[in-house]
Amino acid sequence: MNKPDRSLDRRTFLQTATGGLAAFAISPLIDPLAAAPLSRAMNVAVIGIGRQGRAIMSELQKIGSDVTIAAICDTDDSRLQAGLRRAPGAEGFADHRALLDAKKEVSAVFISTPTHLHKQIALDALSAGRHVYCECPLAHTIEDCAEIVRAARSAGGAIFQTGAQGRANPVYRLAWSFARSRSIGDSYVMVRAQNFQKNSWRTPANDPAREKALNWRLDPEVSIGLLGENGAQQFDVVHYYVDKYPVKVRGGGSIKLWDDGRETYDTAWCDLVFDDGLIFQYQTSLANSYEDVFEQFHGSLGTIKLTWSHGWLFKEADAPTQGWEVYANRQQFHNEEGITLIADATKLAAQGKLKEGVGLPNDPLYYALESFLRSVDEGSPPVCSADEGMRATVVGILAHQAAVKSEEIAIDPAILNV
Amino acid sequence: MGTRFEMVLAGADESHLRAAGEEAIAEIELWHRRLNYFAPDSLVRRINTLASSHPVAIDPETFALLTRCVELHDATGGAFDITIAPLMRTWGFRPLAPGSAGGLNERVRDSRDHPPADFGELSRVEPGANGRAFGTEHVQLDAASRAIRFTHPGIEIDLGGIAKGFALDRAATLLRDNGITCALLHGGTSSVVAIGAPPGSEGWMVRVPGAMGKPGLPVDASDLPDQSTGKRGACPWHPERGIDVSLRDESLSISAPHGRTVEHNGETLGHIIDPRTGATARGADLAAAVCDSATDAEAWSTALLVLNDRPANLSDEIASILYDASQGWRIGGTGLQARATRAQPTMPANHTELELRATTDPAGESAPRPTMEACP
Repeated sequence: MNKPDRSLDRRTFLQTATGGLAAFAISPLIDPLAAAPLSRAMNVAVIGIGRQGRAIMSELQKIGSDVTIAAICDTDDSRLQAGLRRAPGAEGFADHRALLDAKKEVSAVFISTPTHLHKQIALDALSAGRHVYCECPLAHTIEDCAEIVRAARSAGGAIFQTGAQGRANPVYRLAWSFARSRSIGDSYVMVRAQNFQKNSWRTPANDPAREKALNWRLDPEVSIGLLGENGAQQFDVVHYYVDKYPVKVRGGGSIKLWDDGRETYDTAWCDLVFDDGLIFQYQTSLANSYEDVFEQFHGSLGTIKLTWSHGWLFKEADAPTQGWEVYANRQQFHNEEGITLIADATKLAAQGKLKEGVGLPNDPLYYALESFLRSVDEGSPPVCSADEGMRATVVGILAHQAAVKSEEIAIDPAILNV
Repeated sequence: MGTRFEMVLAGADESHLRAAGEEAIAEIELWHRRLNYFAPDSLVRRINTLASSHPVAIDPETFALLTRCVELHDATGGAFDITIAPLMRTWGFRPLAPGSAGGLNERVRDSRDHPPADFGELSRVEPGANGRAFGTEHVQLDAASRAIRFTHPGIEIDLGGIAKGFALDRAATLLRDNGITCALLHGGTSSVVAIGAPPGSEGWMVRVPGAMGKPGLPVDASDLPDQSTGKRGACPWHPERGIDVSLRDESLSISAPHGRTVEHNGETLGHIIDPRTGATARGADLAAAVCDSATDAEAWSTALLVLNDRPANLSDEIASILYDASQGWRIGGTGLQARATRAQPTMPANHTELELRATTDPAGESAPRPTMEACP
């Protein structure tokens, strides 16, 4: 059997590739959500190489050759080594300050450490002139959140983006435009959301001395529990849609499955109440995975359901029909029929590929990272500022406190504005 | 991958075992999402959609996997090939991938009920420079830009024949990173990775089942040949009952054609395609390979079935097992007899065993595959 010539040199590869790109330009294909190239190459660093840090690295590597992971940092050596295997060419550091000092070519850092360690790293990175993408929740105390906001505001030209992904998600942005155009009614009737994932929330620690540090989410001294850790991300989605912030929160929780000596709840709930009486009900559990993660916005004319990669519009029987609905893709859910919300549907429809646009072609994290890099590249405002991240985080912290104390807590608007 | 993954971990601290196991399962789920041929948001879908038009930059791990796929294609003389999805559809073994770029599927008649009479029908459809409209030859990988592109329209990659093994390898690496020294992981009971050995045993005993479609039966001690002779192939086996293989820091994968079949001209054809001819593979009823990595084991078990023989140049370190009714068992590789053992696992009282399970999205579920069994 003849050996195929798979060893084309780079020049030939790119020449053929250029032909491919020309064809791409003529035939507007298939991938309307693909990111346009950045105007310049960028070296970045990822600080915190746990599961989320690895996910960030993976998505950054999909963005393309414009972005190079030049350094990674983790205090745990096995994680650091695992990260280095995934990012050939990156330099590893055990201390973020050493990274900031040594890698001057790194212009942006992604912070995915335990929540209670975010503040100092963010402050150090901002003071070193680096752009910062910081995972949500921003911090484990209201005071730390405020410090991050102040630092971000006084950081000169440095961009600070909170890693709340909803505002960058193409499906969420599309659904938001439907909500704003009153497709489901003049106001929201009820908002519901959940995060159900069945796992122990534990991190493996080879060294027993590292057990407490690695399992910080189960440490009542620093953990803001499920409502803070899972909730903040989704609370920001609700803030984005409702365009206001809750004025009080009540909550509760219990340990339903993981009765392994932990003190933090494995199942928790809260009700967030807005000044017009709107209720946002939120539940989160580690004991059950039914329906995973979603947000639902109920109006008098319909309901929008969002699941991070997909979105649907369910219309009430008395809702007016719009012309475009004739061409809409639909999915059946028991007795309900949902109109699939497809990002960039017009382009896809023009290509006859509307059904193929159902669901995002990338992980939601991809769009948050890509939007941050674009803000850095263009100097444009981030999709989720430090201020918005602080508000979602503070609501999460207060929801956690309300659940732990089983009481109602008033949310002073002043606390949400630094 | 659309199958069930299970793992058993042994150690002293159940909390640590569970945490490590959950990370491993998350890793498997990550690779399922990334390598899923059917899912609209997978990396493979993205590659299949775009790589005929322009290079698609991919992450280092996926690039390394694809590079390995190309190496294995060459090493197996083309018997393992990641571009045969159009053939699978044409023969009716695969449903049309939603949103598929089309390729052969749109140009060749929908042949689910009417498989082509011969491969010539396929090869006449817009062949590439090599005279074929599919083939790993049409996959180009550029290490400098870490990108993949296809040199022929309609080419698609389908990693269904190797993704499970790769995901198991990645999960096993994470388990080892997290200090796990004793574990058994399997995907769909057709690929298995052994980490260390159960306490008190020399290896994890896994049974390759006997005659096609029959479950393995318990091996009686009287079945075991004398292993002291060092004779090749001297491992515990029985034509009806199967072969017991002891694995320690090794992987085993098994392939057979009978999991999914189509009727054609009164003949029942199995779902393993010979990429060299486009025809369904005929010969062995079952093939298995034992390698250091599950990625390689998956590719080699498929290739062995296609080749219906152990290649002369195959490294002795890769153990091979072939079975068919006429020739019986054919066992090759120097390592296998050393792996075969009568030792039975025993667990000390202070050890905890933890079992974890996950089922990846069944959409596009691959063909049922022969199962291995944990030995009694």
